[in-house]
Parts: sequence; C-alpha cells; structure tokens
Amino acid sequence: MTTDRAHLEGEFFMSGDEACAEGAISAGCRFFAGYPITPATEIAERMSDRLPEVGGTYIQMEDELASMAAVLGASWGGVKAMTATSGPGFSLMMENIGLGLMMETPCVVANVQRAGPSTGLPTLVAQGDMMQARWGSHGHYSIIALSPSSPQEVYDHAIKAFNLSERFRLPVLVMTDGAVGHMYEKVVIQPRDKVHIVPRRKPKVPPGEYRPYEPDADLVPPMANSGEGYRFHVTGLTHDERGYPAMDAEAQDKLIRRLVEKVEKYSEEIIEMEEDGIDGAGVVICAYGITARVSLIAMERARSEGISVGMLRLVTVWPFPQKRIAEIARQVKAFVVPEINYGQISLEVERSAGGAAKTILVPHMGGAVHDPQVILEAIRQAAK
Amino acid sequence: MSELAVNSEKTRENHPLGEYLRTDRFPHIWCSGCGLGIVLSAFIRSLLNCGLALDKVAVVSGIGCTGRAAGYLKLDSFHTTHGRAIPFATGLKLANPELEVIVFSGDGDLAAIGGNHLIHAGRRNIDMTVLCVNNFTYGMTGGQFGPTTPSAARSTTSRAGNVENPFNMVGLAAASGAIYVARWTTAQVRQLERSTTEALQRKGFSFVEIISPCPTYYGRMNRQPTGLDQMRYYRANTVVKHFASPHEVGVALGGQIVTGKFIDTERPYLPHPQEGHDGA
Amino acid sequence: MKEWCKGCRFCVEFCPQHILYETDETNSRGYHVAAMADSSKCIGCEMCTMICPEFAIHVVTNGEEAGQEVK
Repeated sequence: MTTDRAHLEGEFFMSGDEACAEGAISAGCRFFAGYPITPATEIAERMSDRLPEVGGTYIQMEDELASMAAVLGASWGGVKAMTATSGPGFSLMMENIGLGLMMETPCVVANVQRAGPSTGLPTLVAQGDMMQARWGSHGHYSIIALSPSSPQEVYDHAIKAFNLSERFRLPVLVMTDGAVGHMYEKVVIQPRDKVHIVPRRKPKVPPGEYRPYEPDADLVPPMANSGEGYRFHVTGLTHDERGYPAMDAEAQDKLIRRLVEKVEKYSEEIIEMEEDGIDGAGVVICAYGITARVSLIAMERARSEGISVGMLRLVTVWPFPQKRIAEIARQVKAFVVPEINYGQISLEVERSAGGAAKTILVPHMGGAVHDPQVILEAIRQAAK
Repeated sequence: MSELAVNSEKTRENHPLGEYLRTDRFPHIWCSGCGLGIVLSAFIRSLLNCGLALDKVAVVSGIGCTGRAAGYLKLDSFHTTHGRAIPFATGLKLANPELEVIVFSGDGDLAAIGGNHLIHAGRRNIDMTVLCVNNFTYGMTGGQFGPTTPSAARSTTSRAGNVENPFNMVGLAAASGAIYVARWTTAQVRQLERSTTEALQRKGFSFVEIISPCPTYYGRMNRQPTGLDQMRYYRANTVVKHFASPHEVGVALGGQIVTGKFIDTERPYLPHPQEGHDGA
Repeated sequence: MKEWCKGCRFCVEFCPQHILYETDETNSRGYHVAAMADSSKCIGCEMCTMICPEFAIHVVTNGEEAGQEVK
C-alpha cells in the first residue's frame, strides 16, 4: 500500500462520489469549493478530509454560485480546482461557468444528477441535465462533458476532465448521476507513473510580451497564473488578444469562433465511445451513464432471442459523436436511446442519424433506473 | 503667464503613476466629474506606500462603472461577473496566499447582487481588501437606484423618490465581521490614501467605502448636476468621527456624511498563516 | 496631459493656492483644459495631482521634463 497521500495507489471499495474526489486529487486538484447538496455531498466530504493532507484547500462557500466563482479564482491563482454539485446547484453555476468559458479557465465541475426539475427527488437518480450541460449558460459556446458509468470511471473521468480542461483551457463537466455516485464498487488506482497528467500550458514569452488570449496553433492560448509577474488582464467582456475589452462585432466574431473551434476542431481527439457488436447489428442501443449498464441486461436478453443488437456507449457526451452516429445510421434500422429524462441525447442521435435510421427514445422520468424489460421491449419493436 | 505643458508622448509617461496604469487604454471611460479616477489614483499610491511586490498584487472587479477599474491597472487584474468579485477573490487568495488580493467594485455590485458574498467574506474574515466605491446608483446601466441610494432620492427607477431604506455600508461591513472598516469621500484624498494603505496592511477582511460623485445620473437627478457640485457638497457636509458607532453613520439625502475609521481590530483570518504559508 | 483632461475643474477647486483656472482652450474632445496662472505660487502640494480623476495633471519641479505646468 502506498504512503503517497497524493496518489492512493491500490484497490479500493469506493462510491462514485468518493472516487470522484480521489481521481481529482490524483489529477493534481488542490482546491475544492462547494456547497452541500445531495447526492454530491460525499465528494465535498471526502475533499474536506483529503485536501488538507496534500496541501490543498477545501472551502464551503455560501452557495454554489460563489463556489463556481471561487473555483475560477483558484484556477487563476495557479491551482487545479473543482466543484461538485447536483441539479439545483448546477443551475446556480451557469453564469460563472460562462465566465470560465470566456476567461478560458481550466477547472472541473462534477454534476451528480438527481431527479428534477427544481427540488425534485433529491436522493434519486436522473439524467435530466444533459442539455443544460451543453447550453445552460447564455451565449454560444462549446464545452466538454464526460459521462461515467461506474465508480472506476468516475475516478478515471475526474483525471480525464482535469487533463482536458488544462489541454483546452476551459471548464470540463463530469456528468455523473445519483446511482453511480452512491454505488460502491471496486476502484483500482494505478501506480502514479502510469497515470498521465496534463500540466498547465505556460507562456513561452516573457511577461512584457505575454497576451492572455493570443492562441497557439491549436487555438488554445498559454495561461499565466496570478503572481508570476505577467500582470495580465482577463475579463468576461468580449476582449482582444491582450484581454482588453473590445466592444465590437469584429472582436466578438474572432473570439467566439475561436472558443467554439478550439473544441469542435479537436472533437476527434476528445470524443470517446465504447462499442460492442455494432457491425452487422440491426439495432444499436445508444446509452450513457448508469443507463448504459442497465441496457447491457436488455441487450443480452435480446441477443438470446436472436435479435442482432449492438451497443454504443457515450463516454464523452459533449462534443457529441455525430459523425459516428451518422455512419452507424447507414448500417442499422434503428437506434434505441434509453435515458433517464424525456428525450435529450435522443434528440442529438436523431439529428445525427439524419433520417437514415429511426431513433427510438426509451424515456424514464427519474427516481429510478430503467427496468431492462422496458428497454428490451423497445429493442424488439425496433428490430421488427 | 506660464507656458502650457507640451502634449508629448513623454509627458504621458512621466505622470508619477503612469507606469502602473494601462495608459494605452487612456483616457478612461469614466464621465467628467466622476470620482472613480480619484479612487484609482489613491489606490495606486497606497500600494506604493505599502511597498508591496506588485507582481504579487491581484485586483478583482465586478460589473459596473467601478468594475472597469481593474482593467486600467498594470497588475494581475480580473473583471468578473456582477456581484461575484468577492467569491472569485476568495478562491484566488486561498489558492495562492502569497497574493495581496484587492476587490475594487461598486455599491450595486458589492451590496445588491453581491451582498451575500460580502457578508460571508466578512464572517470568514478572508484576508483581502475591499474598496467599495459608493456613488449611490447603478451608473453603468443608466442611473437606477441601488441598495445604498438614500430614501427619497430620485433615480431612473425611482423618479418620484426612492421608497426603500438604504444599507449603511459601514454598518453592514462591521456587522459581517470585517476587522477594518472606514469611509471617506473622494474629496478627502489624503485620508483616503492613508486609510487604504492601512487597509492593505491589515491581515483579514478590510473594507473601505468611498463616497464618490456620479454627475451623469445620481447628481443630475438630485440637484447636484456636476461632479464639482457633489465634491463641494462633500466638503461642506463631511465630518470625521473616528471609531463612531458604525451603525449610526447612515447617509441621508442632503444630510451629513460621517467619515473616518470606524473599526480597526484583529481576528483570526483565512487563510490561516501556518496553513497559508505566507509570511508573518 | 491636456488630452486626458475632461474639464471637471476639481483641480481648480481644490488647489490651495488657487492658481489653477479653466481656460477657453479645448482639447480634441471639447473639454475646457485647466492651466496654471502663476507657477511661482505653486507649493508642490500635489493636491491637483491627487484630486484629478483623469491623471491629466501632475507637479513638476523646475527644469524637469515638462508636465502640465512648466517654468
């Protein structure tokens, strides 16, 4: 067993929430600002224990909105920072997630989704914030969101999220849910040297020449931290490369196009999926998060009934794998999209399929996971 | 008759504070007669008085006329969302305790939308200095009344006179737990500088309210149409009462303005020194 | 720095020696620029420099680079 408190190599029996905290710490996160909210509180609880052990800071702010602001401040202070919340808090964070996008601030927001809207079912699972994850803040932008299906994946995705946030210099969302968050399973933490950690991309020019928004070739600007003598200015206003306010359509076009393209142009590098038996399948289940695991049971039953069915599991939800969906749509009759909402990612599947294949939503209003039988029934219908 | 100064590039640079300003962005956007430039000037002089390593100074502003202050300073400066300068600054300070963090924002930003964060930062006694420029209005959005607008004062959203009672910012900051609380007007530039210097030197949540003219809206709608009118009003109606009770120094329309240092104490602050590994 | 002056006349009002005045000369933005009547009475207190919201005026001693006032 390791004594390195910053990386607890070994095998553990952990909840998804706890795994989220450990993954963040392994990724180098040294600041957590949050607010208690079921079912994400355990992330905050573990962070409040563990961060002081590794020289980090835990602060419980007065609300989720302040938590998001504090995370942005900490990131600019030179520290990898995150917050974790659920629906109601996620809604409060939207404006400052937008600030994080505009200031291009690396950080991670975990959303352990619960049934909404409003207070809803605070302790029970849902996946109803997926469109909010993509479009929740105002204005047009691109964002990255991952969707883990197990505590092990929550651990892995916390690391992946920090790496993506530093690589692309923006907030990255870990869209988990109450079921995965509160589920206990084995979590294996690899030896430290096996875990790839992306450091912050520092300026290559001296302070006098540094411009906080002058991008490298990949459209991502190097990032100075406060206190290093760069004396930079950053703002939520539309700005030029120097970070100075630029109140005109021309600056807006240049800036917003870059903020979107820096993600979309590299979606191939970002997008991750898991495929099982898609070639030759008549029907493909497209699922994510906890619902992807429930769908496995339905898939096995369907296959035992001789139905040719495959599974496409979305590991990253945003940017959405529209190209891959379009390809599959030409080979299959229908997509079956089970999700614990009344149709969100199914809309993206339908859009991407472009009519080449049907998209059959298997909705669930929240508060429980699907009954596999309901998904099986949909697969049978789709296969007809 | 003396010769007038030559309007040369050299002149622009050799203003004593020129090197601390983003002079490439001057003249600034604030209206003629607005007091914000005075506060900015006093703030820079205070920084210099403290002998701070300017590379370690971070200024965070919210939204509003005052919100533009950070952008004029040649320092690490952050122009955040409306009301959220203080929590942003909290994260910045806790993550990097070596930084001297200053929040430079207005009355609407700090006391209305940001009021919850103000009182919690005071409660926690986060080690930062808040400069609250109080011009009794939302200037950037066109002159609406705000949380500090005196009762009966007119504004674009209280044309018949403000029916609400305002916050007394000094009382609010003191009640929340700030360890240094002072109020000055922009007509008291030397006291403002001395007090800001003290605030920067304190360990803990320091709050300085600076009453400042807004000729374009608040002044024009309340019989003081120019900055000069308001500055003259300040000079004629300001008294200094150090350590007066912070709860009895409210500002009434046309009334007396009590200024001075009201609180100057010590309390455990965040980040904790040993944990925060910044010097004693 | 004539160009930065916005004609607010704070310096004129607050100069203890009352040697500053508003001229008829306007800068490119149409503001009446302030100027000094009698530099010999200037005591170098820098009130004008501190009270100016525009950083448009500062005190220079004899022989220094020309500031707003010059001997």
